[in-house]
Amino acid sequence: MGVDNSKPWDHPEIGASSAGRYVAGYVVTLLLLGAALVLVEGHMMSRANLLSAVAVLAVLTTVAKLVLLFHLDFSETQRWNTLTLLLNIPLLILSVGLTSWMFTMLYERMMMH
Amino acid sequence: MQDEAPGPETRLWARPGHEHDMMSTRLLGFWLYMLGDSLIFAALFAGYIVLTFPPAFDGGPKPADIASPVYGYAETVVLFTSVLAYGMVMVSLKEDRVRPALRWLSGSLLLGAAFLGMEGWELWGIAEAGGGPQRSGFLSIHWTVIVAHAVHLVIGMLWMVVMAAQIRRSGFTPVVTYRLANLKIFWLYQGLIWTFVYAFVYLRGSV
Repeated sequence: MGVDNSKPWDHPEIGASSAGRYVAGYVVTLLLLGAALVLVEGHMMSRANLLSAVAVLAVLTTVAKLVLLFHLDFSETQRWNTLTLLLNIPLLILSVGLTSWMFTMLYERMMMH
Repeated sequence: MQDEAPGPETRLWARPGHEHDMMSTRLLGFWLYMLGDSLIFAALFAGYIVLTFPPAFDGGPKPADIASPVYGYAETVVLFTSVLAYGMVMVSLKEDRVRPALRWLSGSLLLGAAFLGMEGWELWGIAEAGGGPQRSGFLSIHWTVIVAHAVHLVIGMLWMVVMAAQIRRSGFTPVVTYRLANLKIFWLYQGLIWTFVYAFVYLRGSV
């Protein structure tokens, strides 16, 4: 691909910036986290359901940010950013998830409570 | 591509204009750094989970005692507004309008400072109530998570000051454009990480 490096502000990376998308991302993420706040403050579900609901809303907020604010997609300019993020996700899930699993089991089976 | 058979006239090297895409190369490099940075937070969140089992409270405060979901949401609104203002810097850059870009950049910076002020006030209250980081394992990780995120914001704000000076000095040169695009990734990423800080520290504790 021939690229003109003398005008970086014409690059798709900058061209993707749009006020409408940023405002949409702002509103959507605040609404999603607001919903999580209302659920938690109102104690609207059982503890386990509430934890799942918060997790789902946090993941939706993240996806909304990645799509609307970071403009991640599979276009030519964003493909590698998206792919490296997808490859990074298992590392995050394993590091947090395995630790959580290990210590939850340890607590339930070893602690006096 | 030349269609004729190879011969003495055949070019064996790239034609002029076939350059590396400098913007994409720089942004991918910085993006990889941000993904690495997210592993730091993954380690901190893992630590947070481990240190929120009851023995780690050591008779001291529990998450629900020191992290108010409503106050945390107010902090979220301020930080996300700062992120939105930085988005407007990028829109001004795209439209090649220097003065609006500087105004939005100042707004983003001030909102970042307001967010840090709210966090500082919150931590001050916890410390005043005897909840310093040395009180219990839980308080150690609570302070560590909050301060690690705050340090990222301070670095982002210093970067904003530097970029404001560079825009003022030389306008939207190619190098300034690359740096503003990297700072966009950095600042938006702090908003992304805060989503998880809010879910882990403020919401999970009050469930």
